[in-house]
Amino acid sequence: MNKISLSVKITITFIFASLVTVLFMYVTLSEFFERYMRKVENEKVLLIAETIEPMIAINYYLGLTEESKNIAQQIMDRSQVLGGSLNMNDKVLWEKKYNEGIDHFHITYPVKDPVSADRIGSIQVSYSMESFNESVYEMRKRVIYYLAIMSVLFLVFALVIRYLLRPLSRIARQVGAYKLGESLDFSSLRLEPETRAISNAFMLMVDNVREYTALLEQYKHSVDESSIVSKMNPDGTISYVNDEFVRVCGYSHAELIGASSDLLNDSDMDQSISDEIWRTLREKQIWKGVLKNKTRSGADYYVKSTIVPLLDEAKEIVEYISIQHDITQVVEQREQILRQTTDINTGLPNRIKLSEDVKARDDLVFALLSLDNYEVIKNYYGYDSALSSIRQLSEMLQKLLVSKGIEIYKLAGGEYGLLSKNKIDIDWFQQICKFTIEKIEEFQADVDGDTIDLRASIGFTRNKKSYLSYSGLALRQAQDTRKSVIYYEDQENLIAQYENNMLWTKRIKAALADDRITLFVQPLVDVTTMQIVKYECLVRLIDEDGKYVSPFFFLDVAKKTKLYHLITRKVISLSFEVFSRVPDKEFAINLSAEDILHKETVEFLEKKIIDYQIGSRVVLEIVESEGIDSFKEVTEFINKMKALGCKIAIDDFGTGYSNFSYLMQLKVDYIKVDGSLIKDIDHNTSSQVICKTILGFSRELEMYAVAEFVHSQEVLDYVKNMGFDYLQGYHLGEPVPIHTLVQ
Amino acid sequence: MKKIIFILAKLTVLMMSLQVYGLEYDPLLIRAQASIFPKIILLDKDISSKSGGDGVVIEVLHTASDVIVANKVKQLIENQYGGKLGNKKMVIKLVDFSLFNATTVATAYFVLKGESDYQSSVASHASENNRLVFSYDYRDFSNNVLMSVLMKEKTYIYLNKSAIHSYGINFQPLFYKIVKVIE
Repeated sequence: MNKISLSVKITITFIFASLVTVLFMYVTLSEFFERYMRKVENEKVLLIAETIEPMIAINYYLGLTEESKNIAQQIMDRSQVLGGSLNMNDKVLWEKKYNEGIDHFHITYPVKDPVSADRIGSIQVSYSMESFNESVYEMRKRVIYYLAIMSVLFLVFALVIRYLLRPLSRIARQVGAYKLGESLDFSSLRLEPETRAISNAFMLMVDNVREYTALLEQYKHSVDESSIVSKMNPDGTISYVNDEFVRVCGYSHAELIGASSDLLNDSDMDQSISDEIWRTLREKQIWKGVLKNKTRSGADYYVKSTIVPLLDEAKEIVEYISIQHDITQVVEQREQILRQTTDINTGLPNRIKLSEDVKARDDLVFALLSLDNYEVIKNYYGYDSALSSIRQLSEMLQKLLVSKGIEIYKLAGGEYGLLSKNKIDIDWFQQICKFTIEKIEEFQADVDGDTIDLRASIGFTRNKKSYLSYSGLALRQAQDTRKSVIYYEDQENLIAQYENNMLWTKRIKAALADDRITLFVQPLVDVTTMQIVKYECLVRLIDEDGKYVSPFFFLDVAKKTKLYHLITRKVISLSFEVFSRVPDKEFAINLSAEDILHKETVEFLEKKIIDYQIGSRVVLEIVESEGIDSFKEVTEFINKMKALGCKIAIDDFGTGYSNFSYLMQLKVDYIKVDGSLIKDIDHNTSSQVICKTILGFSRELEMYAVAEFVHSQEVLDYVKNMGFDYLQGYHLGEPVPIHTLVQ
Repeated sequence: MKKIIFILAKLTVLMMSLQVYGLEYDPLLIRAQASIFPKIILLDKDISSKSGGDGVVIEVLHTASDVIVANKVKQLIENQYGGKLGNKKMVIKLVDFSLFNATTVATAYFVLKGESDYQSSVASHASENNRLVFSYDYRDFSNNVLMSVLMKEKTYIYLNKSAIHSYGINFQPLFYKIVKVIE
């Protein structure tokens, strides 16, 4: 069918359509005319019957039967009437027989009573079809003539069409034989306006094809020059490679053509990747991705690949084309960058990556998480154990937080950065932080068979510009106030605090300069004798108005500056100077972790003890919760001081996290039970149970127990009976200026 | 004996009457008219308004000598129609010309032979009241009767052309196609 020319198809179609039309018209017209003429002839007979029926009826009605017969007989006057009959009341009044072999119409017409309109008889008329048949024959003859003329016209028309379409065939032959680079020439053809338009369109198309081909050639050249191009057969064998492909992989054209595409695959490549590539391609989809290949010499190179299956008209794969770009340098740089932005120990992104990520964010919530006891772990268990603890903690944090949209960064030491990936409600973030702290406290790192408890604090902020400093401020505040999480939100409050710090810094400086740092002493009473046997030295600042200021207001500020150590020195100097003149009385001075870790302060203290030779009367009170983080240094300090004859007291015992083995290792002499456990001990059973335990423990370790905050007779009576060795509190003696001891 | 003589005398009179009837009236025509005239009454479009409580009333007017013919006409009509014309009751009354009462109106009148004055009087009364008047003899049309039936080679219904307008009767149109109108 496809080999038949368009003109022949049109001609055949036209002739076929014409024949069908002619046949249809013939059948339709014949049917129509025959039916119409039959109806006409029928009408004629009916008209005859209709005409005579009233006359027959009224005559019959009037009893004029003969007259009715005569009227009926009159129909025979018509040449086409073959015969008929008149039946009245089932009685044949008149009848004219005829040869029934003659083609005829026959009608029966009712005769009705003229008065009642009841049927009283019928007229039958038989009418010859001779005239009808002649008319039909004439009509058919004319239709056939007409249709024959039409058929001839159709045929001529078809031939004309074929003649007119002949140039199209020639155009088609020329276009079909067209080859790239040649020109089309239709000048020899007889061209009508329409065929000329078609030939012009082909000429234009050829020009476009030529132009696009040239463009495609340039594209191909560009791709060949810039990309690694190869083609594969459906079975995966290489059928084409460009020069760039050869240059990059190191194989020759001859080695590559016909070889399997797996030739270049890295032997370490996961089989699932190869399977995924072929599955995608066999589904006639484009595969895109990065592949790691091997050169002929075995070197790795990375290519960003796009593999496209090429399909034939039947949508079957005929070959695959692969366009690749060598991104080895990019991958290596990326790996280098990754190394630079990754913490080696944990594999987590580091501070550099955090800085980049923060820059990329418009809005953030950042938390600084610090392991409060990281330094202790490092010093006590060693650096490797600390790193191991950090690794374990990092794994736990990743499991805990990544699913919640929190990115974790490993910062210096025991610090982590937590950054929300998306916008997050601040209250929700705070809940996450608190939850994290709880999980860390439940977590136990396994180091060399020992389990290490971890403690952490978090400060967080929304401030992008100063995310580290603000979160750091919040973290410090959390640590200072022993809160697990603090949000840096009240900037005015912090600024006010800062201003307050600045003010107090000035005041402290002035007080030091003017020698307005002094001491109060509060007595400690021996339970057995109820006599004062010791004093605790308490630092005070005398303001410019001469009023004494509690250390609560200035000591924390002082700790943040270098002034703190000057205050400690002043306390040591003044206490040693006064108590050197008060014989037989022990005196206690408070030392913080900052003091113990401050080399100059320790040396100053040593010197004073040696200078005054009253080491046996000196009690050094260390706050329980402060020393734990620097266990090693504190132990060394205690050993050194005990060697000089000093005694060691753990202050505020019962408020921190110390266990008894810790105290045992420190070899302290006194335990000063915190006032919070003493102030209501006379009626608080929990305090009573704890204090009994502490007392039992102190006896076991041969330590003296001191009850602070004895503020009433009831408390005094109770603690005396419990077995404390020494008592201290307002009920026994309020703090007084130290100079009253020597006045 | 007297009784026998009386019966014989009566038979003689009857025979004479039949002879007269036989001489002056065509029995076939009488039979045809008795058959046709009532049917023509039904062809009057206004028949309903012309039939009163007694239904269709046909008065047969006759002379004293034609009473037997008139009675024969009555019998023929009644035998053929059984006292009903269409769906209406039909009554045939015999009326002597001399006793014709112009104060009563019948549906139609059938006049036998008689004097011209009598026939004219009946025709005048009938035409005034739009009633049909049939006559036995078409030659009585000069007395202004409306129609008659004549039998020659075939049966003809004659209609008095000069009287049509004065009677003012509406027949079915077809009727006019079969009647023979004469002056």
